[in-house]
Amino acid sequence: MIGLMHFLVLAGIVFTIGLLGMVLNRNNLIAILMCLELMLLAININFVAIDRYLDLVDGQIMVFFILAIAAAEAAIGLAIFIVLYQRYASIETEKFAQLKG
Amino acid sequence: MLVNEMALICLLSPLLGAVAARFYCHWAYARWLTIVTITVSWLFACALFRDVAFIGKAVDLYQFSWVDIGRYHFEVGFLLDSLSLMMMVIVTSVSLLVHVYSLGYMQEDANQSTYFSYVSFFTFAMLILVMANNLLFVFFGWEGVGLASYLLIGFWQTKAYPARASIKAFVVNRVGDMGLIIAMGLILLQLGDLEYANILGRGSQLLGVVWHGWRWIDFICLGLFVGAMGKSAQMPLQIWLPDSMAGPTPISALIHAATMVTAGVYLVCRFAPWFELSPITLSIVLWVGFSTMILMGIVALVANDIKKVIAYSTLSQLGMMVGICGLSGYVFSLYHLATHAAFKALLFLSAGAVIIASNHEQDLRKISGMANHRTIHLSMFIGLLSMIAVPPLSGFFSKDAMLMFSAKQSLWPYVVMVGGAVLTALYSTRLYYLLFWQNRAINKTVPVGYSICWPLWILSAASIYLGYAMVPYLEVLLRSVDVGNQITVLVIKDIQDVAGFIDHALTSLPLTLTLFSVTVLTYVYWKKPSVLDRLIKRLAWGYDFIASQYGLNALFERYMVTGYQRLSIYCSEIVDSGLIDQRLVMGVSAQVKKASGPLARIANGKLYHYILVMLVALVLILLGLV
Repeated sequence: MIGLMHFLVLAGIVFTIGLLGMVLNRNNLIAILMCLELMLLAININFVAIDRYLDLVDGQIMVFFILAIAAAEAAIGLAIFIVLYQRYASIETEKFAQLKG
Repeated sequence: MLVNEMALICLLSPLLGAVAARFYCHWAYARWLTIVTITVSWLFACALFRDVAFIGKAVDLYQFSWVDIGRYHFEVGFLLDSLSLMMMVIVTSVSLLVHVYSLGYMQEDANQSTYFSYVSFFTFAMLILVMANNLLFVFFGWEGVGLASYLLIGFWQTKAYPARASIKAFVVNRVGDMGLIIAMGLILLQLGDLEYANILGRGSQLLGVVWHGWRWIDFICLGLFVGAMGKSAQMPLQIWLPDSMAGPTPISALIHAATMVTAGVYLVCRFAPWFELSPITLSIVLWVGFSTMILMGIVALVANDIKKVIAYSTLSQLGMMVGICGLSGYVFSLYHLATHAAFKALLFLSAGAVIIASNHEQDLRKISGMANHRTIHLSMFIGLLSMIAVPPLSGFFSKDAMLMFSAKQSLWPYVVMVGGAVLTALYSTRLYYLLFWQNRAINKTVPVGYSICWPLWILSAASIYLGYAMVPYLEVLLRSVDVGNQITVLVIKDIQDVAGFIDHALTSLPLTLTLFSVTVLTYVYWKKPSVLDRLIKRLAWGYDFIASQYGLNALFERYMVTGYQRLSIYCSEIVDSGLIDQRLVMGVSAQVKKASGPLARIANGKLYHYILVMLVALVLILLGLV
């Protein structure tokens, strides 16, 4: 039988993958964006699983919001990447360190 | 036409010319534009003079409210009476002639539109000064005149000497302005108003105001006179005037004849009722004026630059006017101011013609061949005769009126005045000799154009005729500066009988002495120039002392300019760059930079580091919560 704990563990694993991808990935901005999406999805799984367990709908409504925001964020992020690429002919993370103190 | 509109057009026309010539015009049109606008101004000044000057009372024209602070109200308005109208006519006439003259004189200059614009602005500022009906508005014109003189004396700013001279004129004038500002403050404090109509009649109210045994009226009049000393170049503030010769020659004519130096005399005459209430100030005025007259007259005897000789003669004549103000003879002082404007403008413009004809040589010992230049010779001759006061030229009328007035006052001013008249005769004769007799070699002179000759002819006519023409005007003028002096009335009566006046003068001491000294000096120059050479050799030490204006320049240089420069250097190097720059501005930023060094290392611009820091922080916070 698959219970709540399985879903939570799955969400934890997905979230950790996203986080680690962000921290460890050193040269691709698109990968960072994908990791961000992954983290959001992990949270979505959490919402849905806990709603189902507690027999609620609030979290499921929230999921729609998160999906919408994630879509918008992806669109904006990709647009920024294109502009960056046009200007610097690269989207390597290391190149964008102008705020370095 | 209405008086108000006429006055406005008269005042604003030169301003229009100045602004348009400077900013909106090609230089070739700028010259003509300013001449047209100044002509308009001159025509309206003359029309106003005809319509308003003789009606016997002042016309006060309110324009608009300027400043409104609490209980103080200052407005912009004009006061037209026989005094200000006479000044307006003098200012615009001389300015018009100078504009025309400059057509020829400044022909080869590259910045003509700037030049003509400045000259028009000068006229505008001077018109404000004489037309304004309250002291604050006068002060506006007063400063405008100072600014314009600064700009014009330093017109050839790429050369070192004009630049220095213009700064000197500006700074020395500020000293005088300080006196005027203090006087304005004191008047405002006591009477709460600066408008002529409201304050001039209330001088007696000030008599009771005493501060530690010092009467306020004395302070106020002294402040006004210090202002007048700055502008009218009385000792010891005269040092700017000889140096102002660094500017173009038409400007010297303008400064010396119409604008600027007449401002001080005008101010003193305007405040005549108050000066009458302060005998101490009057005696200071007398002393300062007479010492300027005598001492600067002596300097004129040893100067060798043609323009400087005339400049010192201006100082001497101004000293005479101011001294007569000190004796309460305001009308005669203004009379001399008017005739002086004519012959001094003539002398300066002739000097400019000399400079052009001799190819920009100003040293009297080197100029030659001028005797053959008929216009220059004649106009210089007439100008000098007028200044010496030979009857019936215009200088004679005004100077003899002053002499007669001083004679009726008391003995010693009369003696000093006669001394001044004799000095005038001596330096004029010397100038004539050096210019026309000394080097008679017929050198090739540069021809001068019509635009230069015409103003000379007109001014020659004025130098001959103006004194006589103004005789009936004295009574009218007296209404504006009437202080109830009986001697003034008597002298005016004497002058009105012109034939008797000339008759009397021909047998009087001053004219005899003057003509005698002219004859003696002429004889010496003609027959025995070696006598003078020996005299100069023997008095060599005194010669240098006098030529340096009695060491006044060196004194100011030594004790004020050097000290001020040291203070400036201290402020610039220690206070500004040391304290403010190094310590305050750069120091603070350096400290912040130093302090932020370790923190800045965290912000290394690497995204994954930031995320790691966030993660670690999140974990720590969560651990803390658990």
